[in-house]
Amino acid sequence: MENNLFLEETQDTPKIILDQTNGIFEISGRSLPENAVNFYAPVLQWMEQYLNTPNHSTNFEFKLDYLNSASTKKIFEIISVLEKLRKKNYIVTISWFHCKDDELIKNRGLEIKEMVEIPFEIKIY
Amino acid sequence: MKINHINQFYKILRNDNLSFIYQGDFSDGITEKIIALSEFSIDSDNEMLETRNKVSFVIVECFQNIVRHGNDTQTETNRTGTFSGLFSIRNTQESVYIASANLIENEKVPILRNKLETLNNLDKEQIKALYMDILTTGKLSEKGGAGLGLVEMARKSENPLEFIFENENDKFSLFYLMLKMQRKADGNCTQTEQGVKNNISLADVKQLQEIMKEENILLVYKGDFSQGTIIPVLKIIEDNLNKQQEEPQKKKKLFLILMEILQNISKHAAVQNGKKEAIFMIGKKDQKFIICTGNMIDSVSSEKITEKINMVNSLNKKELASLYKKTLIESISVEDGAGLGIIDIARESDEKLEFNVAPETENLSLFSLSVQL
Repeated sequence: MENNLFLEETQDTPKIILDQTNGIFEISGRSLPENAVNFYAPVLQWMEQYLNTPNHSTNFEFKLDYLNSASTKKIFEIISVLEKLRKKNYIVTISWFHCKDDELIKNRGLEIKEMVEIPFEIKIY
Repeated sequence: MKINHINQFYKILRNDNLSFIYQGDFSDGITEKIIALSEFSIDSDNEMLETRNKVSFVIVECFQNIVRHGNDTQTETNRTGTFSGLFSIRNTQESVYIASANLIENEKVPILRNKLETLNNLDKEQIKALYMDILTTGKLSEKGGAGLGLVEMARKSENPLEFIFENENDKFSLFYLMLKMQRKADGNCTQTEQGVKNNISLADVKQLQEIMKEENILLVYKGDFSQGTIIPVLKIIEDNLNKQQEEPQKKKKLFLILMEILQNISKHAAVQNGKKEAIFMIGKKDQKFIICTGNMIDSVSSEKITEKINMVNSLNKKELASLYKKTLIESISVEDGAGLGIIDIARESDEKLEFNVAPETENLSLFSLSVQL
């Protein structure tokens, strides 16, 4: 499988780094696409493939600035794939970053944290 | 601003393909976004490049006028808390109308009026000659600022410049200016009956601006709601918000709610003449922002949305939070239609959502929604 996926940030979509080689998994910036299903399709496809040949441990970082509801669904879907990975006894951690004082992103993180069984850290960047 | 302003403005702007009316603080920063917006709307109409460039040029000139004179009068406007500018672009099937308004000092009014009247009496060749003359002799008007810019606007417009001066107080007057540009290449002057009906006068624009000022409406946008037009509109608002003394969290919340609402429209609005047309307004009332939108929906969607809004309105914040989580989990198995957006909007809004369904045709209704933040 192709083990890396990179997408540059645009005015309404985030930067995506899925770099299995170097163990960097990161989604950062603004995620506001109208059609989040299309935008996240390759990401989810990559994640499903990653499930088959994952690294021993995976730390997934979210550094989001803006998030629309359509993207929230997709982010949650990505996290659900990570939950599957954890159930296969791999080490999985999530780091959810928010700007200081950004209650919106922080609360979204707290909410998702309650809904999944993965070590989930909420940090300020 | 109230929810029924949607119906009022929708009626007034009915024949516009695009309307963008903004009154409030101005800076150079929003110029490029408005250009992006108008370029997009012209592009989507398969218009010619030439018209597009002319329109961009006129927008820049109008803005520079507002910003330049705005600076001159800034201290005064801040003290009295009045008005700092108006910018309006309205496209009909036949023409593009660009209007602006800004305060100018009373003593400049006669000079400016004289210049405008002179320009309006010149024909195309004479305007060109005047333009060349100013360019070569470098003879620009002192301080009035209305030199080359106005002449160039007159050249680009190829129609008389419409203007109104309205006395505000013993120091300042409001200077309204409007340019009309025919969209057709040949500039054909014989108008169809519908074309005449679609004509917009500066008095019409002024009337809208007065309602907006009175009701504290900052922005009205009517047009196609696709991602391509939503983004520039949002950027204009974001830019404006960044200048206001609001707490950052409130600005962010406003931006996100706007995004959700506009994307909802883009997704669900009924398509008419190949476009998803809708109207969107943003205003303030007692320190709160009010966002109102209106779009056409068919009777099936209208029933669904009524039911959904009544449902979220019946829940308190805690119940909304658990519905949100439930919907999020379900959304993985059910593709779309989960309605996370409307729950999100209800969660962040300070008041219950207000909405209205006004039948327009047998099958279509104007659905309006109002959210307070």
